[in-house]
Amino acid sequence: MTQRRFSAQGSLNWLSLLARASVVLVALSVVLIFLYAPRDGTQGDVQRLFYLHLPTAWLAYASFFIIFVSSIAYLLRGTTRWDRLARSAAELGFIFTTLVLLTGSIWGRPIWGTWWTWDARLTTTLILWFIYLGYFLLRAYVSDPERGARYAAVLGIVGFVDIPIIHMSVRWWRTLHPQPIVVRSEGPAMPPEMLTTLLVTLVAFCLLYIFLLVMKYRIESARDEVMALRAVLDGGE
Amino acid sequence: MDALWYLFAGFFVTWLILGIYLFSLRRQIEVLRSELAALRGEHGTSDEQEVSPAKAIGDTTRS
Repeated sequence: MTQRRFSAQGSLNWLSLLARASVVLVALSVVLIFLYAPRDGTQGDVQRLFYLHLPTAWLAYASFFIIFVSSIAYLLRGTTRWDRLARSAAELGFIFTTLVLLTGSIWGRPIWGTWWTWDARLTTTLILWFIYLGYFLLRAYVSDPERGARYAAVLGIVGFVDIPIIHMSVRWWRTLHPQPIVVRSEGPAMPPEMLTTLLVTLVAFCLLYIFLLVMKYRIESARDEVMALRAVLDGGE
Repeated sequence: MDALWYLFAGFFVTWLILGIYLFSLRRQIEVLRSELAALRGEHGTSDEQEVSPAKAIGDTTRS
């Protein structure tokens, strides 16, 4: 099955369609960010980093939500496919959390005058990055893969607590990081052009994320099959 | 001018990291594809057949 996934072009049609759609939408979002979205009156052009920063942040949280759900499913049902999904989402979550921290830092330098500050939002996001790192270390250092998967699933469930803390941090503590301007009970606090640009960028990043997640999941499936074949061959010797 | 430098740095870093990641996924696919072909040849399974990973690596459904 994995071989078919990797080789038969017919079965990959929807995936290549997804890849093309994400490339087109990413290109469109870049055009909108630089040519359509208005210049922010307070922050100037550097505010355009917002259109990268926010989708990457939401996808970093979404990754942990996928890990949370698939970890529960893995502990309940014990099927490898849930663990595989958690592994795949963890790698993407790590990449997107790294991007959030980097774009936030680059954006913060001209606005706050510093690359980093121990602000509640920044610190809790850094903790998320370390949770992801711990997730990989746990898997790497536990010699029995099944036990490693169980420990990682527990970390994936417990670590999810950080997501609501990150979200609420700007309300619970006095922070340099601004309050939410999109998800608010009063509705988004931005001009329609900015909101349109943000939505297109968000959809582009979501498509890219789904594409990467499917690719990573298939790689993990193939890796499991390699392990299975090796185990069969070693057993036969 | 300074602000533009930060803006482009942010975009550059983002797309560089995502590009490197995509490249690494492609590399992993190539390596696994050749590894699978070699192992299947050794095992005697055809391309359409698959050895169940769950069966061989001792994973069981605890339902």
